[in-house]
Amino acid sequence: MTDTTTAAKGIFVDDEDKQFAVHLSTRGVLEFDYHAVLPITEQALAIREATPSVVALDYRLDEVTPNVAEGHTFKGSGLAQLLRDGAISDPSQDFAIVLVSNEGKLAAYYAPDRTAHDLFDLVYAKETVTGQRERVRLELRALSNGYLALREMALAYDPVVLLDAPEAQHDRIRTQEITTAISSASAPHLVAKFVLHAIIRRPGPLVDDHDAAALLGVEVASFEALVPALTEAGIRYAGLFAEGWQRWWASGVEEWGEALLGGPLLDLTAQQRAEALSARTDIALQPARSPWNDSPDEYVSFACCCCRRPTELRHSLAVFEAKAPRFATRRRICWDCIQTDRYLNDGHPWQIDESDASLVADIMTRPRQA
Amino acid sequence: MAYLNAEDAGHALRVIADKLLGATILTAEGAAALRDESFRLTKLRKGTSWTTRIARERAIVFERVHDKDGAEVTITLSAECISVDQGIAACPPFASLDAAIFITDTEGAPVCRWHLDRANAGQQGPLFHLQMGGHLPGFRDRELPIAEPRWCHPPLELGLLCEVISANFFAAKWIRSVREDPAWCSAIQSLQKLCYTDYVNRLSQALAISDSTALARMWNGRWP
Repeated sequence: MTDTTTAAKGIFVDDEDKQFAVHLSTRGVLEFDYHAVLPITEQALAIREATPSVVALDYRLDEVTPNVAEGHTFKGSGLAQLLRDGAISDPSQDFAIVLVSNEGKLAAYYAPDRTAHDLFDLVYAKETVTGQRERVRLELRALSNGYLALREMALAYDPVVLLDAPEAQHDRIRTQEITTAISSASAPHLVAKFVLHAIIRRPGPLVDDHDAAALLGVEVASFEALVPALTEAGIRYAGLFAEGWQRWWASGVEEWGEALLGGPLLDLTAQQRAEALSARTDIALQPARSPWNDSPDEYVSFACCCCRRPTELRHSLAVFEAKAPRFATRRRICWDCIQTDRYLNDGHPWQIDESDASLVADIMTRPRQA
Repeated sequence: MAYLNAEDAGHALRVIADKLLGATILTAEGAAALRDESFRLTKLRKGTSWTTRIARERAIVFERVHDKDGAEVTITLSAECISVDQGIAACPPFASLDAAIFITDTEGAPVCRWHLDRANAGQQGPLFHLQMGGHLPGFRDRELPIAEPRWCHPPLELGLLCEVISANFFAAKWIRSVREDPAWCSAIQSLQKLCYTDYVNRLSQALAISDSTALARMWNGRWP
């Protein structure tokens, strides 16, 4: 028999699809109960009284509602707003709110509802929940534990402590933009939103495996062989939500590589970096190859935001990002994704920055040369 | 011959402003000053003559850098007047050119000032020249007692001057985020055509003439 006394509590609210409560749960760690739709104030009260760690809401809660009078139905965003209001009044009871809805509804109803976008920590398509169950569960556990840590901090948020930043990173973290967003937050969900979306889920002070591989000039598969050495070197991110998303201190990765190679990494081609790192680490590393010309002799330095392959500046264009923080790295799309239209069809609304837009027509017909 | 129209020059300046802001080389106010000038040029559409001015009071301000002793300095770029006229043969394509890079310490006191000029009528020196010093309002006692030497130098407008500052003072950021950016290269190339084509032709011709020298051929008053 499983001991569930220590499991964190999750609540899943939907007007159908009860089974998603099971899909989202990690037995003994984070267990979701299904709540049928009730009138909105009753629903909010029931959720608060249950003191959950994570609440998952379907977006359309207004389709099958036997318990709600006609004209009083509501959407997930309305309930989320009420719950967030409660958290501002009592931050010690704050919890994560995620949206779980099917792809069609997300595209048709949630995407245009921009006022709702700030309410949710994360958004999952139901198809993702069923298709990538372990990843989703891992992220939900990270949210649950992160909110627990935030509640225990009782509004005394120090960005360096929160992000568990090594001393070498303190200057980068104690910038006005990061410090103000974190230190002045009046509830855990405001810190969570900033850390998740401005720091963890976009390149900047932290990078994921793909961007780290590009910095080191190696294929992502080869990068995995370097993970133990990079972890040993203290470059792996260990702060808030770290268990859900593997991240690396970007400047740490670069300095680690430079210390091994004795000079600036980005002065070397991917081939040169991979060869030198292979020699120093005794690990056979494959060089990253340009998505545009398949050459290992390019100066790759970041991952294309669309295909995530290591890419070079000269064969990529800037992405328009209206809300990119100043400390973030601007995202770019490789010419391969542009010429093949992949960037228009990957489910993300990527737009080329207007500075670079005039080059698209030329790229569409450009031959590929090393 | 026209190498660039005002609309394309304006677009190039806007790309340069955006790229340097994104790379944290330009400050927000510096990028705004350059962008304002770019919008003004864009309105002139297909025109091949235009004048740009960046007042000292609203100069293009770069992010602060450190001098060799670790003290912060501020770099600003201003232009009293850059008048492009691609129809004139005497000093193509600039009817006038007077741009300055001014470096100050944290107190606003001058560290150094460089200016890139087109020589005035009758002035001794290369037609287009680079010179140290010049006027230092509020710090007359720091002004250099002599104006020479005037170094023979190709004309540079605002975008190319931004490139010079970026590459010299922000080398790591420039190499990493800007130098090979295709949109940046396209913008810089269009401005290079404007600034360098006649100058390079003139210099190249000078190499083929045995009874003169390159400097003599580039001297003020000796251009056709």
